[in-house]
Amino acid sequence: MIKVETEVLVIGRGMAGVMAASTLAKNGVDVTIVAKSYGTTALSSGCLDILGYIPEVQGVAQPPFSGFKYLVVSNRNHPYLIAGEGDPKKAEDIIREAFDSLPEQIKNLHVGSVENNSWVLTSFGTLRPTAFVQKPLEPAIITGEKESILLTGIKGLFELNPVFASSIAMKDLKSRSLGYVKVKPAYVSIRSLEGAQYLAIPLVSTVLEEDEEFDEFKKELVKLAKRENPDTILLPSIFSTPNLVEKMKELEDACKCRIGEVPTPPESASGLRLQRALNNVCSTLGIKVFHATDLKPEVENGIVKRIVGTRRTLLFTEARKIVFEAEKYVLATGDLIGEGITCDVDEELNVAFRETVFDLPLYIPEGPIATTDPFNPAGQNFSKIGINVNSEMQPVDSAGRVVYENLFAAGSIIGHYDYNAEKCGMGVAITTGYKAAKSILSRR
Amino acid sequence: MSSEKFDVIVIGGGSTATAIARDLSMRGARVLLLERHDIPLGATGRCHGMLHSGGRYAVKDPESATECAKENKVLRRIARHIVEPLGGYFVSIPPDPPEFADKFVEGCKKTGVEFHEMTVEEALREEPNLNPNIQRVFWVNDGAIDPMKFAILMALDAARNNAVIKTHTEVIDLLFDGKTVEGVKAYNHLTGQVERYKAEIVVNAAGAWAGEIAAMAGVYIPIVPNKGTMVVIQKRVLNHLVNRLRRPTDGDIIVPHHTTAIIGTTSINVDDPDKAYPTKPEVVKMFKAAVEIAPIVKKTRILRAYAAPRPLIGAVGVSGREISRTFKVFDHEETDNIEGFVSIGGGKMCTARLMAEKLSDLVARKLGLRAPCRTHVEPLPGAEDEVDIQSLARKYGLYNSVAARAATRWGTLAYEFLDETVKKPELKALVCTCELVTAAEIKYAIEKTWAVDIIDVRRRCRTLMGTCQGQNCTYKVAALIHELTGKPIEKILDDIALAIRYRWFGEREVFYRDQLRQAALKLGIYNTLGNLDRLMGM
Ligand SMILES: Cc1cc2nc3c(=O)[nH]c(=O)nc-3n(C[C@H](O)[C@H](O)[C@H](O)COP(=O)(O)OP(=O)(O)OC[C@H]3O[C@@H](n4cnc5c(N)ncnc54)[C@H](O)[C@@H]3O)c2cc1C
Ligand SMILES: Cc1cc2nc3c(=O)[nH]c(=O)nc-3n(C[C@H](O)[C@H](O)[C@H](O)COP(=O)(O)OP(=O)(O)OC[C@H]3O[C@@H](n4cnc5c(N)ncnc54)[C@H](O)[C@@H]3O)c2cc1C
Repeated sequence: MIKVETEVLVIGRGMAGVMAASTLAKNGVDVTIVAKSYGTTALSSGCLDILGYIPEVQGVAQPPFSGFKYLVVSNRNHPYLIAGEGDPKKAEDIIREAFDSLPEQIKNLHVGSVENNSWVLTSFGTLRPTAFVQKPLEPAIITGEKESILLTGIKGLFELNPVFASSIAMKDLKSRSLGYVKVKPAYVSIRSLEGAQYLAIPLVSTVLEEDEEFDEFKKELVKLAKRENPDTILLPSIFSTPNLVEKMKELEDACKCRIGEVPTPPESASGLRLQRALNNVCSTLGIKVFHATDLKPEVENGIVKRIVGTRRTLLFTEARKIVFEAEKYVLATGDLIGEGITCDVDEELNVAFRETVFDLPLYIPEGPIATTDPFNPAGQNFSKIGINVNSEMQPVDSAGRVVYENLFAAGSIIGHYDYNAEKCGMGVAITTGYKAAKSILSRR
Repeated sequence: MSSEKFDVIVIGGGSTATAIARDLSMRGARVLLLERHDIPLGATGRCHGMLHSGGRYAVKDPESATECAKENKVLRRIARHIVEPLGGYFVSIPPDPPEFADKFVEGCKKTGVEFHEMTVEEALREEPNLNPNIQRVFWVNDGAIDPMKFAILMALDAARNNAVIKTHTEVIDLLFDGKTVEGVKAYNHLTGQVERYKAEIVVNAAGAWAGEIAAMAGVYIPIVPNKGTMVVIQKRVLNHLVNRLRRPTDGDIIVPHHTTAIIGTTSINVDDPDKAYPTKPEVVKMFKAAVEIAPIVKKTRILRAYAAPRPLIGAVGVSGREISRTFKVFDHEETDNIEGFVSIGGGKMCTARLMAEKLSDLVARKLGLRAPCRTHVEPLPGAEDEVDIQSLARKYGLYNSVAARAATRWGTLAYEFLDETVKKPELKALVCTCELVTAAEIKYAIEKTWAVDIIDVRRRCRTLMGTCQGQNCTYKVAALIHELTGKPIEKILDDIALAIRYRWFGEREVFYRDQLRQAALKLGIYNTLGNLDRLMGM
């Protein structure tokens, strides 16, 4: 058995968990993270959304905070409003503060502003609103200025089909009266991956790490740039490592145009970069990260005493118990994807949702868990399932009573919002992670 | 009006219609086949895919049992590449009535259904996932067949014999010359045009919709649309098809199929065949019944549910289970004094060839065609030779698993589409990693087998049908269609919306555990990343 003593234990290593942990560590708190795996953060496209849409309202929230006047009417339990104690102005302030407090590594990775939604061109050719994109994606922002974009796919990597995506892009741009921005398709091939069957982004990245391959790739791009003379070349999100991101400049110099990535479905380089940056935040700040599964809490008198988990150091070694003892705990285990919540069924296939660590009471909207339309802009009930928290980010039951005095929560484990519909995922994770940390600091 | 006059127009694109088109075109007739959507969209595209031994009908429905037993042998020959010759078990699990076993033995003997009894130990050794409480087990010659590919290959064969195949063309009326049907009026869904075609004889093979076509001629045929719901699970679970040893009831068969197994099925008469949807109570029934047969199903991931309308021949008010599964040819010249018009109804997917033979005999007589039926001797496209997986893989530089999946879907036709990868190696890349589908295969489906949208491609290549239910491949297939055919992007977006919505419809009934988690990720990709909810949903 291993025993870990720490002041605060954070469960979950996604955006919300690391935001809480880093805020605490920067304030001198001894923090430890335990997680069973990576969650949604690593699968995302690494943009930091604040608020794109309000489900019931047509049109984008521009600037993001302009949406709050609708939010107070349509959803008073939205985590942003909860974090702001019900006051939209306070909510705005806490969001600004949270983004200000982002760890340096995360800030340095991104460009953008909390006060503005930019339109970024995606691998589908659609435009999506977001507040911050990673720097390698900056060229994918459609600023409204006249430019010619060469949307460039890699042969055999179907995550970005440039012909399809540029057709959609031109349609989308025209509908926004931006038809003068030209998006044209092109292809490059990566020689040693010609004829590969499982062509995925991590593989492309690995191959490009080899100098010879990279030089070949560069030559192809230069040829393309010479022929088409674009302002910008956009590629799928393939530059997974810092080394490759560094080399994008080399490509720009050689091609004499901007080189960027578009947000691409998982596993994309931008999601992996964000997760890696979060890992770096932990090592820089001296936050220990443990891997453990089957976490079981022990509670006494309304207080979480310890959490017992199972740990395997190597695949074939014996599983060992690991015990975490902390004064305070932060639950940042994500939603259905990250598995902070699971959904099981009984013999009659009646569904039962469960919070996976503490079995906390869940908010479950009334009615069917999914509408008949996956593209329903009002979202889906199952996305809104999560725990209830008070403004201190403490899990509460349906009557508003605090469940465990020393337990806090952050991120998509919290209910009452749908990031697919609202485009607000990372914003909620960052804000609630920050707020949970602040609540803990104020109790020291 | 098309100036060309055909010998025969066949209405429908299920197993029945495509088998008729194949048969008549092989006898030398000039055939036009008109299907309102895609070739196997009706019952054929959504059936259980059982290559019946006849065992299921041996007791209650001897006529159908005999037909199945005969055709079983034929299809194993002419369609061997798309048949999985698994063999089937009939098992009795309490409280199945013990006396049914004796009736079963008697029925099989009478109808010529091959069978033998096995010991319970033997059966459990072969099928460790079976319920250990089984009392008696009989082996029969059941198999699985890909019903969609079956219809498509028959259409392909018809086309090779000069038939014209038109999909997405809906017959909206019949053309008359006095009391003689002389053609059809059809709406082309792709062009928005109304078209007219003439022929000596119009064959109504529209399955559960045959009653509607007959009504266009002012005649009545007793087609009862009868709904069956099925549930797809993520693993094959069993090595054989397993049936219950009792009268057919809801949820008594499990059929391993490609990478999945399909649990079936209910039998409910419905008014409108276009409204055959699965319901939650049916899914629950199916699930519980399957757990009884194979307890492992309880832990197995359910992918989705779906339903289809059977074209049974019967009388209104009679329960679907009581109606025979045999078929009937209606010569409207004889019964209704209308010339140039024949209908067919009932039957099974796996007896389609036999049904077509009977109907074609009649039509050939009317046309004065002398050539004999050859559909039982000629192999379907792709079944000409056995495919050696290793050498296929080696020839094109594929993983064995990828080559094996291509060969089970297409037989020797795999060589045709893989040949393109020699010049264009990027076509070797997988578009669907659940079912291992290469871009080359999708290109072939689009260019050679009348697939015009994402769902059409699904029926041919099994894209969208695997574990992720189209999460990773829907947009990739859409993109290929756009790139290869230049289909307008507005239409492509509609296709994506339709394909994802259609999957969702079946998944929704089983949203729990990993399938719900998958749905969450799917929305993350299409809506959070792609913003498609705002593009399509508003
Ligand atoms: C495809 C996709 C793209 C997206 N793109 C964007 C985007 O561009 N911009 C944006 O703002 N948002 C985006 N989102 C949403 C965003 O990714 C999430 O809202 C955010 O990552 C949630 O972070 P989290 O820290 O709450 O959860 P997660 O990142 O899921 O972290 C949960 C952590 O908890 C651990 N855990 C869970 N259960 C347990 C347990 N029982 N025991 C131990 N550990 C456990 C997990 O292993 C993981 O480490 C996207 C989502 C998806 C699906
Ligand atoms: C749940 C279920 C399970 C089954 N399992 C099996 C099994 O395991 N094995 C087996 O052998 N059989 C099985 N069957 C039976 C089998 O599926 C059907 O008997 C057979 O597929 C019917 O084929 P069909 O061509 O007659 O009809 P369909 O396949 O329904 O074809 C009719 C076609 O006509 C088209 N059409 C309709 N109206 C028009 C129009 N106006 N113009 C043009 N086209 C039109 C439709 O779009 C449709 O594609 C099952 C049936 C069901 C419902």
